[in-house]
Amino acid sequence: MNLPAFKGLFFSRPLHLFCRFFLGGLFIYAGIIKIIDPAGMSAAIDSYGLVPRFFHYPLALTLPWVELVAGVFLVAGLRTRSSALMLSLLLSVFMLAIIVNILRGHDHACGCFSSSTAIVNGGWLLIRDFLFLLPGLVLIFFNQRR
Amino acid sequence: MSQNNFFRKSIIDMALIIAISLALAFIAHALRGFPPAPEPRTNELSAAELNFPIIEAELVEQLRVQPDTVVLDARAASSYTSGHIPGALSLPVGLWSEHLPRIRHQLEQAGFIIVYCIDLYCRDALFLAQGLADAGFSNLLIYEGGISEWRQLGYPIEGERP
Repeated sequence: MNLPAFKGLFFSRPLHLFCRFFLGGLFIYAGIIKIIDPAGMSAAIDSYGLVPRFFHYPLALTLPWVELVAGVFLVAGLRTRSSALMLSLLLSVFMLAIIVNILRGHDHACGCFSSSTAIVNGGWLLIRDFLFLLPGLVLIFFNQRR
Repeated sequence: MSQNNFFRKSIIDMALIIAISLALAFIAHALRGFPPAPEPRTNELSAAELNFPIIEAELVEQLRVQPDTVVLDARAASSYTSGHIPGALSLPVGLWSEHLPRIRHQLEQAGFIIVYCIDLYCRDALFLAQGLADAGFSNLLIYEGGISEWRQLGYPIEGERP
């Protein structure tokens, strides 16, 4: 295998553009949907059963804005690595919450791209979030300016 | 840029992103008026508020062997299959209305329906009990200690993998 060429792919500008628009766009979309319905978002956070009740509503009012702003930063190419790191950390926290709930056998809503409180399959969510994490990792670890 | 520098710069950048987000959230909610906090949902109420008697493990052990007692496990099906109170039926709280027809007959015949989930902090049993009460079932009892306490007290577990 031609390793330098393979490595070059990860540093390529089109791939970085794709990763920025994919991950950033995803979080802009997710953020806007949840900003519109803070009460639903609060119920979705509640369904995870991990955060004290006092924090549900403040989190529901602010977390979607962090997703939106970090997503806009990424799409706009502002502080690219840092915003990719921010979104990857958010994804990692979501994945951790899903893993904890799979381990303790607690069903929960997603709170991902809607504020619906319908119960979701944690295993699939985990796989999906892992796939979403990949563009973030490319942007963090294969950056020209590192 | 060295890795250390990157992380130091990233922490500052992330603080900036969070600060901008909080400011925008505050401005947006101030402009459109802070939405009222949601009404507490059923599973945010305590068992006492919902008038379901709470029972201890000892009574569960006595009742579960009675022929007219049904024990319901409100956890996810995967947790049920990895160990549950002997004789308990699986009725995952998120899918209970879909699974109900399967065990409706047994519930209708039951003298007592005992519902449990993981532990004291798990409200799935309460949520399921409220759903069943709304569907017309009565004589619902909550075993609040859940499978964690049951296991801790050394009571038998069915379906546990060695």
